[in-house]
This record gives sequence, structure tokens and C-alpha cells, in this order.
Amino acid sequence: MEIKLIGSSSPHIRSDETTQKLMLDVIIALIPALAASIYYFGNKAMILVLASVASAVVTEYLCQRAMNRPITVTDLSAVVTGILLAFNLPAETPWWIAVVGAAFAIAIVKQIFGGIGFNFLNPALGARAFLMASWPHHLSGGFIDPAIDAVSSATPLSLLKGTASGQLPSLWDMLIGNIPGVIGETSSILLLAGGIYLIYRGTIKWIIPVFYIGTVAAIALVIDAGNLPYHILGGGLILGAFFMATDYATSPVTDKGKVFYAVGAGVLTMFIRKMGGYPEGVSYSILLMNIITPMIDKYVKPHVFGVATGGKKNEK
Amino acid sequence: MMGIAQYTDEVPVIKGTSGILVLNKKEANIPEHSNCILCGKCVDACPVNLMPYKIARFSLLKNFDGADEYHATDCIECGACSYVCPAKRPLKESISVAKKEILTRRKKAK
Repeated sequence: MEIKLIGSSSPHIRSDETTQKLMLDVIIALIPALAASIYYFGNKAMILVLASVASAVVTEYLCQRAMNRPITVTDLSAVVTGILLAFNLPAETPWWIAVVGAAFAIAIVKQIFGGIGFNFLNPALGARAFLMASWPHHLSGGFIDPAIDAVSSATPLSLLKGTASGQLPSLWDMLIGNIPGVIGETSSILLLAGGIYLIYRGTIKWIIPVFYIGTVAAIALVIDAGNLPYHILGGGLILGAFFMATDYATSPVTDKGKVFYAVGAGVLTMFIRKMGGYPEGVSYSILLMNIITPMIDKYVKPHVFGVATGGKKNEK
Repeated sequence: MMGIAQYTDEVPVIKGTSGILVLNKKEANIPEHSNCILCGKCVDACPVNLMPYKIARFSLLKNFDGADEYHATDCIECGACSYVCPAKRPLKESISVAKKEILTRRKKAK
């Protein structure tokens, strides 16, 4: 009998989970917040998201063509980066800034270092830091207050900081997103819903968001108890904790490492908010922890059976 | 899931044969693998608490001392890491290579 047999190494059956499906889950989780941003900020938000996503996807394709790498645009990771970058821009940002930012995120932060899985920073946050340094007036001004449709309103955190004056928004407005801020961060409740969906699907673990937000809350409770809700809901903390800090490549792989990472990011966030020059500390604190992640992964390892707790092997 | 693939249908069924598994085209499909995205699912899946993605990476770089440092020889070859990998990387295959190489080197050193 003539039959064709494939002699492959075990396991012979694979789970049907793929990188593409994981990224699709993240996109699905971001859709409610995306809808809210379009509702509050109108066409401007939509244009920013479209420009950013298109630029990210095209840049990824061109980079991979230029570097003779397999074209992996279909894994959707560039789309996630594009959406997250647009979420980090104020509504009044010109669209070309989103295009430049997304191109930077994919080309410089991701592809030059080896593509997906090898980026040393969260691409969207790396690009945000780059845009912040290059066009600070676009990135830290231009917030629109959806309630009164006024340009250049102050975010709750810059009011707290004292760099702007105005009325602090109500708790309810912060929850539903009726406050000035970058387009993706305002609607806490929809971001939370997306985050819980991701945890339910097993795409991300609960450890980083819970410890990150918990640390910020604990520190705020000690040093600034009266403004606790503003520290949690008024800035990019929810967006950062669920969608940015949990980026696979730039967060530790072990559970213990994730705790160190999240607590570190929480401490840095409050440090920057209270002592630093910026009203908002989420993006830089996550970037700083991204850089430490390889160190955490080097020293925090799971405990292997048959190995003494000192880390030495008993017999060799 | 972890049986040995057969290259011919002229293999006799012997006492030790516990079962014969015939996979259909879809199941037997070997998926293309892409970059490791460091999701950590293999680390969670490993029943003996290894870091499969690290050992596999060392193995592909032929850095077998590095693989040894991460206890490649403790691998029980259950294949759970390869099964869960969303990037479809053949982790267990790489670890097996490292394991064999480390054991031969140890024997030589004796």
C-alpha cells in the first residue's frame, strides 16, 4: 500500500490559538473605548485612529519587505499598535502626527529590533514619548472638553498638578468619559469592560492591572487621599494598566516578575505625578519598567523541581 | 499526542503498543511558526516549572551551556509548551535537541 506519511516531532496536535487570534481579542476589547472616543470627540478621533492604523500597517509591510523578512502584517499586531498610539493623542492633534508616530513605533521601536516579540519598548508608548519630545505643544495641549466642546481644556490631572485652573470633573463624568484627555483614556468604564474581557479570554493575566492600579491607589491613599478617584480615573491609568503594561514582549513572563513590574510601574507613576514635571506619569513609568523587564526575567525564574532554594543544582 | 510518528505502514503492533492514532489532514497539518511573542504561556503550561521559550532560544543559538543553566535536562518532554504556543513554535523539538546534546557532553566529560 502506498501512503504518504509525515514524520514530525511530537506533539502532533496543536492548540488552535494563534498570535493573530490574540491580537484580534485585543482589538475587540478596544472597540467599546474606540466607540466612546468617537462619540465624545467626533470625526477627529476617527481620523486619528484611521491615520495611525493605516500608517502602522503600511510601515510594517514596507519594513518587512525592505529587510527581507516574512510579511506578517496579517498577525494584526500593527493594528493594535496603531489603535493604542491614536488612543494616546489629544483630539486636536493633526493627523500627520499620528502617521509619523505610528511609522516610528513600527520601524524604529519594533522592526529594527527584530519585529514582533523583540521590541524593547511598548511600540505605542515609545512613539508617544518620541512625539512628546518632538511636538510637545501638540501632545500636551489640544485637549477638548467634550462637555462644553471647548478647545484646550485642562485634564483632571493637570488641574491636580496646579499647572492649569478650572473645575475638577465629577466622578460620574470621569467614569463614562465625559472629561478632557487623550482620545482613548477618558472612558474608564468601557476600558475596564475591555480589560475584563481580555482577562476572561485569558489573553492577559489579572496580575499586572490589579497590582498596578492597586499600587497607585495605595500610594494615593497615603499621600493624597482626597484626590484618590482622580488619580485612578482621571488619567491614563486604566488604559495603561490593561492595554499598555500588559504588552507581552515588554512585560515579564513569570507571575512573580509581573508583580515586581506592576508595583514598580505604580510607584513610578505616582512619583512622576507628585514630584515630576508632567501631570501624567503612566506612559513614562511603563516605558521605564519596559526597559527593566529583561533584568526581571533574568533574575525572577520559576522554581524548578529538584533544585535547592539557593538556586544551585544538587547533583550534576 | 506525544506518540512517535511512523514513517511506514509496515510497523508491527507489539506488546508495548498502547494505541494507534490516525490524524486527519487538518490535524496533521504542521503550522508555520512565527516569532516568539513572549506571552509566557509555555512557562505557565510547563508541569516541571521550566522556561521552555528560553531553553528553545538557547538551543536554536546552539548555546547548550545556556540551555543547561535553565535546566533543559529536567524537561519531561510532555509537549505542553509546543501545544499551547500561539506562535506555533516547535519548542519541545528544540528542547529535545538541547537535552540530547547536553547529555552527550556530560558523558564525554566523565
